[in-house]
Amino acid sequence: MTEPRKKFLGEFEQMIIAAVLRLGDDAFGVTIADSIEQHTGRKVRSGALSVTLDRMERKGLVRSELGDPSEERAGRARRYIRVTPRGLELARRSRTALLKLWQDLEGVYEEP
Amino acid sequence: MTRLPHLAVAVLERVVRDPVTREGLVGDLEQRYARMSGRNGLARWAWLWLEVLSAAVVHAWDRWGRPGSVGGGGRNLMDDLAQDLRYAIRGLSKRPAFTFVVVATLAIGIGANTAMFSVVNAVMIRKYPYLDADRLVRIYTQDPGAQPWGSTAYADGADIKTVSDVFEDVALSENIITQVVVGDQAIRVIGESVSHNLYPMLGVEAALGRTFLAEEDETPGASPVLMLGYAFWQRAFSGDPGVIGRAVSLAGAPYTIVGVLPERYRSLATEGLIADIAVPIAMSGAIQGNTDPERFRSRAWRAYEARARLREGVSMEAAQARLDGFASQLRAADPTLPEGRSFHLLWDRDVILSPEQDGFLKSVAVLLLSAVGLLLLLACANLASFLLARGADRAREVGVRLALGAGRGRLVRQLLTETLLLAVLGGIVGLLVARWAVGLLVGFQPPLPVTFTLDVSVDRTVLLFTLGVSTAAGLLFGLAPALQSTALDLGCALKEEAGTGSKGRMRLRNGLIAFQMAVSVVLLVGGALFARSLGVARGIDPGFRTREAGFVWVDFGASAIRGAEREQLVQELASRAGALPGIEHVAVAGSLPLGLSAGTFTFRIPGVESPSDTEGHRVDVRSVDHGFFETMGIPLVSGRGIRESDDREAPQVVVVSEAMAARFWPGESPLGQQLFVGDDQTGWEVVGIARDTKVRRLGEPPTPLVYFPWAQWPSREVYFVATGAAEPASIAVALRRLVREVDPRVVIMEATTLEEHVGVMLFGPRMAALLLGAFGLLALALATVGLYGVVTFAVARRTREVGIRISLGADSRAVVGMVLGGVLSAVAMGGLVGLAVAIALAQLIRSFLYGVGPTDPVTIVGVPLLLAAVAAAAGFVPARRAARVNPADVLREE
Repeated sequence: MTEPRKKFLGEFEQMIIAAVLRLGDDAFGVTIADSIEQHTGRKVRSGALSVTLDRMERKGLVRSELGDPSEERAGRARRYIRVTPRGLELARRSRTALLKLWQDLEGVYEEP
Repeated sequence: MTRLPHLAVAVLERVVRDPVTREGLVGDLEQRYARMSGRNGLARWAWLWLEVLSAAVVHAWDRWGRPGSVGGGGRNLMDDLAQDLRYAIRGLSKRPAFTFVVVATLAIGIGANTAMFSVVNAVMIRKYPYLDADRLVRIYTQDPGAQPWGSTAYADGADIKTVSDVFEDVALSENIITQVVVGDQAIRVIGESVSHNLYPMLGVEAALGRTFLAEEDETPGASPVLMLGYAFWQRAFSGDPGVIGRAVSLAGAPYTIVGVLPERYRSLATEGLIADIAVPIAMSGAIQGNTDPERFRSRAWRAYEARARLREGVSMEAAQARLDGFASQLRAADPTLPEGRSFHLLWDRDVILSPEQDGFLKSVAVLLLSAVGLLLLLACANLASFLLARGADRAREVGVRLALGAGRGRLVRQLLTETLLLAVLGGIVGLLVARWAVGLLVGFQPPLPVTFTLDVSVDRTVLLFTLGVSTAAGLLFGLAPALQSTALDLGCALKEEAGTGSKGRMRLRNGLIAFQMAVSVVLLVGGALFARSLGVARGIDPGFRTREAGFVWVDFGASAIRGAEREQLVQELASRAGALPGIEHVAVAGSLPLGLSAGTFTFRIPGVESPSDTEGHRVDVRSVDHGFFETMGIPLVSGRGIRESDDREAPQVVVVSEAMAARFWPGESPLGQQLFVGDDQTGWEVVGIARDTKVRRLGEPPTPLVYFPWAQWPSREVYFVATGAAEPASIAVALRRLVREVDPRVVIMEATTLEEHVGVMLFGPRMAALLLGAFGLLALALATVGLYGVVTFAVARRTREVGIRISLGADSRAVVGMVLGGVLSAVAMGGLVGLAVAIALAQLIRSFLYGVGPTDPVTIVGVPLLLAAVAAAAGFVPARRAARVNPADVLREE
């Protein structure tokens, strides 16, 4: 079931998309969480991440598939995430919008 | 292979539906958990459960809570509930009359219950959060021949404190009634005098200032300090924090305020009462006007309540055994300890007021709560029948929805939502009703010398109780009608045919009618019995004059006036009272009949066997002067009364009551016989027999009583009773003024009329009659409304059928009779069952009734007849309407 089409991504969704794009083939729960934490300092809970991924998948922004089971995950498989074209488009649009908003405001927001 | 606890995995398996998501999530957690192996176990464990629980919550919300989350029709639980609520609100607002009646009905039932529960909660259940309350005990003293839960002597309390292997601390207290002067206002207050360690032991801290110091306990009368109760501080001192250090006059002497008790604290006596002041225990003598040091030294002077905290790990049995041993140790060390004295322990949490009164209190509480419970049942039965009727009304609507594929469960849920909404509304309004009712109840002050500030607040317990009752009512009484309403014959429902009503619905409806009748009968019978009991109580002849007499009650003990001085004062007061204008007769007595201060004594009567070796005969006694019998209007049956010459120099004489004569000297005259008091060798000669009077209770059988001449048997408290041409109220005022004039030291307890005095006795029966009568009337009102509604509806449903039958030639009356028949037989059935139950239950309240048996014929016959009349009237109007129906109109509607 698809949900009503949105035009922009939420904050967390943007972070996820960015992380996934950066991670490429290695994007799954743990790595996404680590990446976000590393780059933003925001602590990510596995539950929150997985439920947001579910929603994004329902909206057609990402797609997931299971990998192989592994020892370090006590025999559980990884859920690999990929960004869909639609997801990418929305991410671009959101980024552009924000950059436009922040344009000419660098002076205010640059850290001293 | 998993490192995670199985429970965690199980939770996630349950909550996360999508297998891919699940696999990813659990796997992520496994991986991250493994990464944490370097951290300490507790931190890991905490982190894990935080993750698992937050994951469970967000996934559960996503799956079930979020609007539109369930797949398929796009609906989930929350959506359904929201829709049901909207639908219910719409439906109820379209039928305001129905809603009003139902909410009002429930409000009455729930309100009455909440009110009664608030009062019971305030007096019996709610407890101040004392420190380590589960180890607090009460210590009682028992002397041989007396009841086991007696007050304790100060000296004994001090000694028990030394049993420190068992008791962590022991403290004493006494309840006091006295007068405080604030500004120019004299205010009567109730309070407590306490050992300095009592409040700290209980964990009661001063809200302002301090509690009492150890040195303030040392010398009797030497520390005139006091603490104010919080409410009293607000009331009389406007909550002024500068009140510490200020002086006020207490019992005629200046005291310094040192502290204010906490807001939450009520009193030691009971949670329902609020103490106005507290003083150190060393001052209790001074306050009561008796600075006799014996009150703290003598082991015979038992006036105090003792509380203690057991040491940790000490059991009640161990403590009791230790105390038993201690009592004999004490006797060996101090021979002034009365022979055979023993001490008893009770858990403080098990005591409400006192062990003797608690039984009575509990039975009263049970009675009242049962009555309101029945009222609520009645209200709920009404609710159920209304819902049933409404359900039948909506048959077509329900039928359509069922036909369109709505699940029966879904429909039942919707109907239940409506019922719950009604119940919650009823609960809210009921809370308002309860507030009002409680205010009313608390306003009924017992006619005692002091105004009791009863603190009945609707607290959290009561609110939860109300909520629970509302919800239970809604679910319980809504379920059957809801199920019933959805069990439809679709064909009939869609065609909007009334039919004869499904068998099941008819049975349910008749069952409800019978139930309503039964409950109403029980409540009305109860109310009627109490009302009749009150009537009888009013009519009981107490055996003495109750009108045209006033009295003043003084306490010489509190005034520290004893011995010869007291006797002189009494004589002077009596003679000067007799000289007052409008007064003809004056009496002096140590106690009054039906009074609170009745005394008993043990006698040995030669020729009459004692009940046991150590015990004599325990008989009520009264000290009276020569004017008593005349003033009180008590005739002498034989012999003589008390004479002025029966003073201390004269031979010891007594007058006895008829019942006493009949009991101890049956068939012969007691005149000239001797009585011996306790161990005394000098006897008292019986010189007269007086007519019986009520001694303690209006409902008692003839009671043996011994009258002593006051001069030979002086009492600490004295009543001066006077009658004459003057109004009793002004007699009382004049007597009070006289006492003040003659000796201002004398503490006046009360000055009022004999009629008011007897009225105290009637307070109980009056309240009972009022309350239960009110319940009975409410039940009648509810039953009437319920019956009317149901019968109207039952008849209206069958209007069409009536019309057809009449058009086919049936006699209209016969037809209506047929329609009413089912309803009325349910009424009759319910009435009979209710009567049987009422008679059975009435046996239980037998002890509360005066002169009216549980099978009082007037009540047993009257109540059912009344209700039958009500039911008939309720059915009459709709029945007549149905009979008048024009068959042509009805058929035209087809």
